[in-house]
Amino acid sequence: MKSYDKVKLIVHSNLPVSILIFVFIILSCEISFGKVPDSDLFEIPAPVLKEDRGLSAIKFSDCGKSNLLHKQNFLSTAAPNKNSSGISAKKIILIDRSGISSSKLYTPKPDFKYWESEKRFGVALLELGFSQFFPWALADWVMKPGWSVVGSNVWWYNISHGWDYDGDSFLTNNFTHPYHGNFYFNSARSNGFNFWESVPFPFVGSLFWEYFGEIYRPSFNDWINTSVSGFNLGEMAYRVTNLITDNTARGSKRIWQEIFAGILNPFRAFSRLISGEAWKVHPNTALYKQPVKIYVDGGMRRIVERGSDILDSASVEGLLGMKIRYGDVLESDLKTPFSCFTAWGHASNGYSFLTELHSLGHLTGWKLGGNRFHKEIFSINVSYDFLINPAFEFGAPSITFNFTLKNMLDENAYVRSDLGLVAVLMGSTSTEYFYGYDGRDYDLGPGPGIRIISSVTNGNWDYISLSYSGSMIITMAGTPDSKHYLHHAILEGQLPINDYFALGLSMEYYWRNSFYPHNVDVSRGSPIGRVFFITRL
Amino acid sequence: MKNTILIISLILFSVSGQTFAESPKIGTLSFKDSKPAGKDWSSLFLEVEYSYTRHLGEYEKVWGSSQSGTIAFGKKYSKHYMLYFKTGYSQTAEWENTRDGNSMIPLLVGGKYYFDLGTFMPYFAFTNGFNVISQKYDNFGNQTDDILVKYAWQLGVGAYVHLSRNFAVNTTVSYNSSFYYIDAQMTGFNYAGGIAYFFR
Repeated sequence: MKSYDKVKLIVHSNLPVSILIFVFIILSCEISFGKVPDSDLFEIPAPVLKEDRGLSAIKFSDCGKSNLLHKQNFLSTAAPNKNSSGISAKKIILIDRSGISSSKLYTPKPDFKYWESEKRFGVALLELGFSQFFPWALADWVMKPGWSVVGSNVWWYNISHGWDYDGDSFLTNNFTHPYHGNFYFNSARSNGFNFWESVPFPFVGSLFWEYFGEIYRPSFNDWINTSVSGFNLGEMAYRVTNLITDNTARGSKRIWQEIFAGILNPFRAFSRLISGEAWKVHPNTALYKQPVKIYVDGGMRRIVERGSDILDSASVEGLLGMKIRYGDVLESDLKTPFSCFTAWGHASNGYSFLTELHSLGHLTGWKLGGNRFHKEIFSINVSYDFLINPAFEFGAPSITFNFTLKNMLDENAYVRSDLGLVAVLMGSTSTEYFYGYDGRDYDLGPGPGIRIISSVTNGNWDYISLSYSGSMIITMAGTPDSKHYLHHAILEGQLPINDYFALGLSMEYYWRNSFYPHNVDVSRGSPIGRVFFITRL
Repeated sequence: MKNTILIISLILFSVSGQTFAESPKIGTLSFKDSKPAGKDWSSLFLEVEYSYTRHLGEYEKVWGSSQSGTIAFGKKYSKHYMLYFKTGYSQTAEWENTRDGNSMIPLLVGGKYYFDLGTFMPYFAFTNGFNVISQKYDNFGNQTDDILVKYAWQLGVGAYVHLSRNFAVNTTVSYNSSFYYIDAQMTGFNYAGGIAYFFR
């Protein structure tokens, strides 16, 4: 028997059963240790919601025997309302039907115990295991691409040989892996762990996957991208879904909120389902009331693939984008991670559907000084960049050390300036001389960088802004011994038509100087022009 | 036979979970209950350690093992966590001892997640940082005079045994993976023992 067949045999005989046992142990532990009373875990939704749907109109005498139990449930639910509010069940029904929102008649329990009020390591581990098992099982049992055929020989080989860099596509390494890391993070975050306690989960989860989930040697770039961008994306998903789900809402509104939030953050949705929080009326947490601004923009851009003149041969693409500003570093609690973050991106109808995605999330910070007219803040942030278009590609998780200055111009408008020193943890950038065995055509490596942004703004609209990002990527995998100096400058203006609508124009220039000791050096520049409308939701 | 064993294991595991559930201490899957009062303490600590690393993979074919002396300084927090900085000196020996080995200065920061059981304090540890490697020969036998700075990490389990209020002995077993050359990464299992002094 070939060694390959042995490996396959081991996998197909032992691994699924082992994983099944593992899952069963976790389940049995978590449920049987009884951290949560059964009533909270599997509470059947009380029929209070049905009043909203006009249950009062049903004549019980018409319903027959099959509805007797239903009737008893309804009456038993209505009775406490009489006791607590002094209003009879009949009155509740009448008021409800007369158009006054019935939610006003229900006071959420002040002593409501949230699922996340205690750490649930077993459920977190179960979800982490599932987020690894599902893609592995899909690959091994359905898709059969070959990389999932693992076993003890593969595992020992990976342990003894250590790190490598993989040959995955740009999209896989810079988007899919971070997206997967978001699940690892939220397996903990949605089960009672705070931000910092949840951060190790994507690191450990990704490490486990790299060593034991694939036949390839563990990929260092995957580990960094999955872990760092995973907790970055994960915390944003966690906070955004907390904004979406209104615990006091009911009816179809509540259902759609839960579904939409569940798509964005499935593990939080799972926690809400097993705890009953998805349908119980209970108080919202502070995360529901965070200040957030959402912008949607649409327009077109002209991107010159190679050259210095905007009139050179270029691609014209339609763009649709979104930007979320959560909190404000100038006003937020600086010690709370992600008390403020900004995320923005664009989809295009051209070269790549997902063409641009960025985020900057606050980790911690210090107020250096200031008064009514002036503020100075130093903050440490985690950032994520993903850029792919006909002219270039760049992706990186980074840590940014930022000085933020605010100077008031008048009562509303001010100049905001950011000066950031950037540690690029794992940059991906275009190259001319590398084409890997798996089709990878870009270099990978870390490096230092700088980020400068200055804008005149009123907090809602950036009337004019100028930004520059520069970084040096020291190639660790790809074109041997090469270095890339990357620069991206953007000048953008927005002309508000009213409070919710503005027109915009931006001019960008991206250039790359790549130094190859064993080949001819390359300098490339790409001007980009964009016109757009932008609306604030 | 194998399936029978697996099924029995499954039943045993589920029964053991049920037994816990029936105990009066429902919901206390924690070491806290077995801990006497007043054990939640925090302090700075200093630790000296000797370690032996048995290498693996391609690296092992040239460099069999390493020995290190390290010193760590950090803080033990009252609830589960320890954070520390660690440095020292490490010497790697070639199998045949025909060439000079590599010397290495690790610059690491790390954390431990511990369970305070009183005298006995087991933990999980993760450490990462950079190894500054000085080498006279590379992995392929070529004479060189390089200084390499390479990312390194360790993941391990260990335990402190408190001998007195301030002193404890410490043992750790970790998996060690550091960059060296892409085809010969410095991997291995690290066995360490040392003495820690807690400033409390």
